[in-house]
Amino acid sequence: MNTFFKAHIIAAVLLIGSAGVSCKKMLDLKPENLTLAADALKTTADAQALLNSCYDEFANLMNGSVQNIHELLGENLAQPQNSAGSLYYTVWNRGTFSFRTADREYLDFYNCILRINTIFDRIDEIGDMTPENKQRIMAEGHFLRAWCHWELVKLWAQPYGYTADNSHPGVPIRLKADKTIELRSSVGAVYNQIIADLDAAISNLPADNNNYANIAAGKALKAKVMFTMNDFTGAQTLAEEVINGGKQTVSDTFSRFVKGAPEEVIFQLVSTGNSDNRGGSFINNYRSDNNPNPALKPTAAFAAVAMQGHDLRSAFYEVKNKGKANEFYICHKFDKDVFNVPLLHLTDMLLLRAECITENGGDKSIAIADVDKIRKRAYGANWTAIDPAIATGALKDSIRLQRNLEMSFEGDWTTQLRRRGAKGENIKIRISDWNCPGMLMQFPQSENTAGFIFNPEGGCN
Amino acid sequence: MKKQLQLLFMLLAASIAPAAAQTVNLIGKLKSQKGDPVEAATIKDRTSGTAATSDKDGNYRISLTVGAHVLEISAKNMQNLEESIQVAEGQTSLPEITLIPSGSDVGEVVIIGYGTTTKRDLTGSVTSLKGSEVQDMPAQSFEAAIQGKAPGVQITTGSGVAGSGSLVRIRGVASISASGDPLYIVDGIPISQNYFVNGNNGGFNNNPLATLNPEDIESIDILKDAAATSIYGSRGSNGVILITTKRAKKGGLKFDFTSRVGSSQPTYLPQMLNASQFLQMYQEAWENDGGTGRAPLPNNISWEDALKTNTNWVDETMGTGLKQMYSLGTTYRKNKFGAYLGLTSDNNGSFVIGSRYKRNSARLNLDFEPIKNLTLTISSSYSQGINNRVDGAWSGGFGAAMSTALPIYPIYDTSGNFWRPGSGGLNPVAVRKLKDWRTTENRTINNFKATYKISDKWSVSAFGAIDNMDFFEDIYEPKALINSNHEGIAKRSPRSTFNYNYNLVTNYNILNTEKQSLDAMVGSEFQKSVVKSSFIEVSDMSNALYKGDQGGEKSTRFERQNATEAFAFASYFLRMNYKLQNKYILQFTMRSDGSSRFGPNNAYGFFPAISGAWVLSDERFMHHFSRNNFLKIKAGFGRTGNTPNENYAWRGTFTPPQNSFGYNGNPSIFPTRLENPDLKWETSDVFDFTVEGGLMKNRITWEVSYYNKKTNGVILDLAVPRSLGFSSYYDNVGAVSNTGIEFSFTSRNIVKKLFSWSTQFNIARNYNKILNIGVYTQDAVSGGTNDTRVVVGQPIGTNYVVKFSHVDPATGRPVYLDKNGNETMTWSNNNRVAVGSVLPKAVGGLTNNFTWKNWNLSCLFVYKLGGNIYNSSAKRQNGVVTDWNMTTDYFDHWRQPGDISKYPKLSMQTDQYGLPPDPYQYNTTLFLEDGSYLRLRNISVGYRIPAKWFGKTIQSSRITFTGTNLLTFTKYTGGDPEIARDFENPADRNMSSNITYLTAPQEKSYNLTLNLTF
Repeated sequence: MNTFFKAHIIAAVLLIGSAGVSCKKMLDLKPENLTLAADALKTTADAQALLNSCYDEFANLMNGSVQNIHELLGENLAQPQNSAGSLYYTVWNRGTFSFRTADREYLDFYNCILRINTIFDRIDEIGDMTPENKQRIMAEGHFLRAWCHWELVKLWAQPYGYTADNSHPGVPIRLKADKTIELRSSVGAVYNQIIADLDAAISNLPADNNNYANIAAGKALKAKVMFTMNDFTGAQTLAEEVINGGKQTVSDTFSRFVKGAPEEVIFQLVSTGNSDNRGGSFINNYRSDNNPNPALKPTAAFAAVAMQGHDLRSAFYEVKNKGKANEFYICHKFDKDVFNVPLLHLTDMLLLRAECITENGGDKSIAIADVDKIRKRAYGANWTAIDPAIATGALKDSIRLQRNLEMSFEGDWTTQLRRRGAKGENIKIRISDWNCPGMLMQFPQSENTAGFIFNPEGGCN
Repeated sequence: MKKQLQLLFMLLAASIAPAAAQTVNLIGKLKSQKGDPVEAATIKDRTSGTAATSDKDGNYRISLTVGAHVLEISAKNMQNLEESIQVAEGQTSLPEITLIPSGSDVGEVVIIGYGTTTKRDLTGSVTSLKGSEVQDMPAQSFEAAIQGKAPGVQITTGSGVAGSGSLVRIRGVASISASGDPLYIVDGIPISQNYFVNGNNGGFNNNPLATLNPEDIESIDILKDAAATSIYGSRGSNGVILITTKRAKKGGLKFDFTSRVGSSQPTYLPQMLNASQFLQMYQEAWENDGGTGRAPLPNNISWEDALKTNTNWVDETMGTGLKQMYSLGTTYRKNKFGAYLGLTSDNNGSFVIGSRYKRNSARLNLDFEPIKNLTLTISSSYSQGINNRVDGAWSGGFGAAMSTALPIYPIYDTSGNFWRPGSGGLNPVAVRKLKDWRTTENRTINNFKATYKISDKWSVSAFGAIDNMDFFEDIYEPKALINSNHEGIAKRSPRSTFNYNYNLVTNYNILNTEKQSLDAMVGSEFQKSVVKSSFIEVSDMSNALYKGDQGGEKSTRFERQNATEAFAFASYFLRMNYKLQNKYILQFTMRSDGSSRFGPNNAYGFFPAISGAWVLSDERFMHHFSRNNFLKIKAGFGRTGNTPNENYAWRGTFTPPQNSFGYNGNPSIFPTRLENPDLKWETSDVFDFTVEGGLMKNRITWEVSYYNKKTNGVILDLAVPRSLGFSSYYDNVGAVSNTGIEFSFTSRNIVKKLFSWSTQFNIARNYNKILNIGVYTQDAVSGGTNDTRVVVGQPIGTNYVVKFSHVDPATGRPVYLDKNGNETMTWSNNNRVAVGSVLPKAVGGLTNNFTWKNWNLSCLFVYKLGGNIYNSSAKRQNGVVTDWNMTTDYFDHWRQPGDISKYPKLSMQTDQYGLPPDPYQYNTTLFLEDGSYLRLRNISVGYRIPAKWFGKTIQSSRITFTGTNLLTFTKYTGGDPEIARDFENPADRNMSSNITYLTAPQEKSYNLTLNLTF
């Protein structure tokens, strides 16, 4: 074989080799087990799955993570142990700042909103989407987007009513799934958006929707939002619509954190098993039957109120090392492997309506009946009915006490205190004013873009 | 006719023999100073011209007349020798002759990308090391043994945890979010080198180089500048390390057996408080804060119990580890076939109790020439690395011993069970004993190469390779460890990486005359890597999954298939070498790389380099410098690149239903990344200028290099406003420069037959600076412990903390400095400034080798001059008193008005330190220290056992005692000054090079090695 001939063979081999690496397809690698964004939303099932992920993301936030932050800012939890880089310790001391704040929760609420906005932006591209499905999916999206914005504005801004026109800074409102950076909107604008989303949800949500948002859930949520705005008339009206809807009844047991569907629950986060446990942050931080030293412990002051012998709910609490220097209290409310997390329920609606009535000057007997349903269940054989002649103020105190005890450590009480402060009541939370700067979460450092206003810090101790 | 002439010549010779002097047949032997036989040496009698060649054992036969003779002996890489001998009647053998290595290594072969050259012809900056330089020093992983031996290569060896890896930086780091590690190529295969296959689970990064067997390494060539690395184009930005494994050499069957036993101890033991010291200081803090009575103790421990307990958790987590290594190398060569078989078993116990890395490996390298001009080579290796893991650093174990495991906590409760107050980290002994945790790595690296020589000028080769790594992590936690009603939970995380590449390369000698030559190499290459991973969790288990337990009826099983990851590179490359008069050398290289990590608009990058060398000493005008026998100048300019670590960084993606948890039993999908189609290559433009020379007949050789590298379009994983719904995305932002100078020399101080002394020294200085980061702030990228940032005008990962001024003698409170230098009692995020120097002024090594008769002494010192260490965990140990233990250094704290002290008063209240209510934020210069050190990295004493002890069976044998890290000189108070923290991701690896956080110290080891060749 002469060299000339060999050369041609080799040149041919090299050309083949070169062709082997020149094919663009060899570089066009698409991730397996991931879907390209362009291909992800083609069918109604895709949109439904994306909506389902919004519930998933939301559930991972409301598994106790967010509620615990509210409680730590409030008056019912003792100072947690000063552990390494502990967010809880920082939050309890009302000292969050841009490098130690609830940035995971902040991100995940907006990630949930991003998912919802992705549905809204692309729902018209889906070929097999029926008007009915579009209406329902959009309604559930509005429901969840409203709730996410509400949770954000509760933690990162002063409450509604802090300024007369609610022009004080709220949180960024995001209505599109894009990279446009949004600055903080006013609290008034944020609440307007929440109400608008909830109205859109209520108009289109189905009456029954399995474990997902239905019309009662939309109304209950809006009632709570309006209650937070101190709009007692609007809140009462909506609460009454839910109560009168008759789908829920007051349960025999006051333990709503169970694996199942108590008859009083309007909307709950569903745990399907041990590996799909939606109450994880409650369990991990309060549970004491397998952990002698849980991270979160009630204060002695709260325990003194909650551990009245005649109150069946006192079984939720226990004192440890009684009389010793290291005495502390534990909460057994979440001592379970797995449970559903009730977020909207009839007890809340009854107490909400009752308090609205005391604020609105409505029919006091309805308020008494509402709160007595709760009291009767709590005190059992020791229950005595509230005197119909009770003064409105005393009745309101009774309703609020029941709210504090009934929904203890569920992330509600601090919001109520701040709401009442904004309404004009003289409210101290621990030793500080309800509106001291540290009651607000600081924004993550990542928000540091031109024009973004960070919250003032400190001032609560 | 030819045979007839031979016969006639023989007859003539026989007829004149009686008239000549008597001739005797003699047997002689040549050896090197190390005692190795010298093969293929020429032995020539000056008088008669009779010559002989030594065989593989160094033996030769020569016929000499009786009387005096002078033998002229020459051998490759050895100094020429003239040996006077006297031959007597009846003599049959000559005395053994020892040859001394030649001073110059300019003829040495240097491995470069896709080929070889000689050191003389080299135009790029390359440091070459022999395999023996790696094998002579026991190390956790081979790259650690390079430390101090290559100028400009800064190696921070991993901690003493078994299997840990090193931080290798060649001429600084040019990337921020992309990898700053060099590209490792084993026998032509760009191997998988992911340090984060397991994240930093347990406070430990998996070392992808740990399964490479150091005993198999023939040579290591480190390519440093663009002239050398641009042939690897898109991945040459941070340098390239070429590893060549052993192959059969000439000379039949040969065995090389090595056995090593050794110990592992920490170089430093953390000095933590004992129980009484802790209680005293804790109480002092309590009282300083206005507390009365006895302070409530962490985790509700009573004083009564605390006073009865004194657990030394450091002793409970650190001890002495044992090491054993056995290696057998076999080479066989006959005619056109050669084989190397290497078998090694290495059992590497760490001083960290429970930490052990076992590696069993086998390698078979074959060479075959089936027909003329066709050479086939196969290189195949299989290794298994089993790492018995324990928690460390922030995750527990020895990290807990330095932090959350207080001396007042017992190991066992009064019932004899492990004391466990909830968090497992508080009792690291319980976690270690209850938790079964190991990783297994099965790796095989194989290649096949066929080279056909078409003519004397032209050859072509085809190369194909596979690098497959199967990694499993198994964790079993029994009921006693987990807060659950389940019996136990077993988890397994399998991850397989299948990496293959093939290339076609042709070499052509275009021009070859006496005066000039021109060679060209052209090639194309394709590489693809596919990573598949999954996760399995089984509840109610009694054992780990690797033990075969699959769970009983009660068990529930969860399995998840993770997203498959893949990347590919398609490349063309060219190299041309022109040489004029053997003293002017010019090289041009070019590589065009296509990468799947970029979108269609930016898929291909072009990486050219031009370089030249001038052998100045060959010029006439230099001849009067008689003492200079070699002087060469070389310079090069070129471009290299880098890609993001994420394979699909530019693509917008969704997680599909099968990979998401779903909700309410229904499937879900969700967006995982936003698209960035404009993402492109990070490119580095590199200039290098080097002068190298030899003095005194190459008794002294030296080299000085200067380089400047500017990196543009730096890839950043940017922290974007979280209100967008995602936290980061990749973009090309900003520029970085690296400038540096390197110097090295080798001196053969004394060269005698019985005694020799040589010295190698190198020193390098690198300065790295961020030139801009676009519109972003310094907080766009941060290190994992929140104390380093990207600051324009400062090196990557500079410390960005508040300046600590002093302790106020009146109040004992810390006094800080604000941005303007004014004193303040309040720590503020806004007062953070760039402080200290993350980069050392210089790094290097000093090696001295002494040989006396059969003895050899070698010692290597490594050093780092300047450069700070930020002791990130000290802010918790010696800051606000919390549930962490403190160090004895904290005794130097303020106690009463007027005290001048290093540390402020003890307090449990963050506001007493002017801090927000998070003691973790106490990032100040109080914890920034000078990290300079001088370390006796390695000392070895060897004795070559005389061959006569063993007769003919053993050709050579050697016994060596080696000590590593026996001495360290430093002013650093935090422990070991050589730190490589566990990193969270590649960006953290670039950003946190001087940060320590509960990091284990280095290992001090003593080893005894026996080497036999037969």
